Amino acid sequence: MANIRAELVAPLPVPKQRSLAQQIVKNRHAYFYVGPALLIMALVLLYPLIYTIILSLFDTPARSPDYIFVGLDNYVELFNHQLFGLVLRNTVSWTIGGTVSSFILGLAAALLVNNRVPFMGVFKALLIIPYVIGHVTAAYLWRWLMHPDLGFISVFAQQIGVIDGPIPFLQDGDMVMWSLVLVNTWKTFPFVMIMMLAGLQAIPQDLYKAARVDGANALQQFIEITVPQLMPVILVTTVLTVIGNFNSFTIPWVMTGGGPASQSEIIITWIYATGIRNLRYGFSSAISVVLFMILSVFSYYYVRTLTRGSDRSAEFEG
Amino acid sequence: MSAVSQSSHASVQRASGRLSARTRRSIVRLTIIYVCTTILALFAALPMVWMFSTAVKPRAEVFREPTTIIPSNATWDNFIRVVQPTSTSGRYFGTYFLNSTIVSVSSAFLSVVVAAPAAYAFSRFRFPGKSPAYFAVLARNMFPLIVFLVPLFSLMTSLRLTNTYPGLILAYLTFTLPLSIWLLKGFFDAIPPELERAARIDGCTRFGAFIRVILPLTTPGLAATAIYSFIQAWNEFPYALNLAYSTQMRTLPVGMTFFFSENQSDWTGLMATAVIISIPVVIIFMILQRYFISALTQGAVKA
Repeated sequence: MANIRAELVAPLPVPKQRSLAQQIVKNRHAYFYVGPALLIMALVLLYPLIYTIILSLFDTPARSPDYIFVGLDNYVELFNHQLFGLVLRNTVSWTIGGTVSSFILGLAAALLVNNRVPFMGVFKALLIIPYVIGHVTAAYLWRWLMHPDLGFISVFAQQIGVIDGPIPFLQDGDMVMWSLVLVNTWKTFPFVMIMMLAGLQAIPQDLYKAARVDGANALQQFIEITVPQLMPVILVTTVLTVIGNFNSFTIPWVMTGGGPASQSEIIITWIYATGIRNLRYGFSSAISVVLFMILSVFSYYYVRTLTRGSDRSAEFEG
Repeated sequence: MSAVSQSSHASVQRASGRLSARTRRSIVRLTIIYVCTTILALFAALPMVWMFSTAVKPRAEVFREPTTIIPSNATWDNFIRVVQPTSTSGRYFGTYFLNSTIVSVSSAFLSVVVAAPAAYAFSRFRFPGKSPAYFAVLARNMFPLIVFLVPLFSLMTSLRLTNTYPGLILAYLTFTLPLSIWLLKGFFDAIPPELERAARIDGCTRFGAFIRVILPLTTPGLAATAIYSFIQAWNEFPYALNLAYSTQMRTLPVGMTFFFSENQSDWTGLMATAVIISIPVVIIFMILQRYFISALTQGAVKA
């Protein structure tokens, strides 16, 4: 509507439409910059992606070089698989459990460290260390901490008399998933803390000053200023944490390998176990394709959150 | 936030000899802050203390009751055992360490070199195909490495790149490259385009302006991106396990899993290895903490 009215009032000069080829030629210098990066990405990402989708339609019997076309059989098998429900439930516990707990701890840590009192720099550095050390290192460290007979947690709990026997953190089917979530929380909460801290420090202090003048107490300041101001960072961090947890492989794989009796199998470890360990490439690829579809939903929100941010900054510039 | 004003207020009050209600409140507040922070810091650091404590215990002490955090006879034997080329468990340590260093440094360096021009183009130029390409860059961060493993393995086999440095470095670019492009674009976005315009007027070519004016200004960003890529590559596990599986090509995390499966109950040796692997990243991080944090947060907080 607005366009039509604008034309009636004063015909705007229409920018000359160039053909796609002309635009490409005109901007050829840009491809010189992005070319190498896009070539490598096509080789190591686009090719594997297409390969996975095609492979999911084939059966690859172990110890045989044959690829047998089976159509959607791998998908049918997947949805009827006895482990399918369990793996989905475990994946949800692992992803949501790890996200919620590291969010709570990370936000608490950020609010604490953000206080301008002595020694907070030291505390901050200490709190970040779990995020920096490797996943394999963390996995073995926690396997050792959670050792039922010799591990620190079991022994310490028995010494102070909280429990009277070894704790089977990774051996008990009902406990194993939550033990893994605990390890993941330890590894992930510093990331949330770093993000929240950056978000907190970007909040203009004038807002708090004004609120104090108006007589707002600490809780009111937190709800009325901190939370809404922090919202964009909270969104991005949550999406990143959900995706990071959903995709993390090393900690569950090194700590339990999906066991005992598949009780801690999540989608990622299942893809690895069926594909790399049991050499069922086709079936494993079918799980990967389903995973792609689930992740596309997350990535849509992630990309939208990120690009919305950059659009806003463009508005400020203009 | 208000702790500063309150604590300065507190010292004035204390000088007058009496504790007012306000002073008492700020002491309670400080106590709560320190107690909570200490609990969180213990959660983060106690496992590391236990790691170090096990690493300096004599092998037999681990199995002795009661278990203690402070070892009764601290020793460096475990460290020597796991790195000594003449001992069974330390035979390949040097090789693993060298492999990890070569692969991590090269991936960090390469991803910055390839990502910088691409990120610059995404930040400054308009060209057909820009949004789908940038979408691919962003979306890559969403997808787990594991799903690319089987196809990458077949690709590397046909290129004869399994068990080679270039093969593993190329595989590491799958995650360091998109991330570096994204991080660097943020740093380039922060530099006003007027700078290039001025450089062009002074006779610089477009590429010259990028190399001589913009890149030097982004040094902290380049450093942050390189560190981030280095730490990611140093800690990576599934690709290294499957694409560089020969004994001569294993990286440290992979070597660690083999150490564990070959020496099942050697917890002291395993923890000594864990300490050694962690030292480089923790030191790098401690020195360059500021850059690392700016790399992590710039995308999210920019808006």
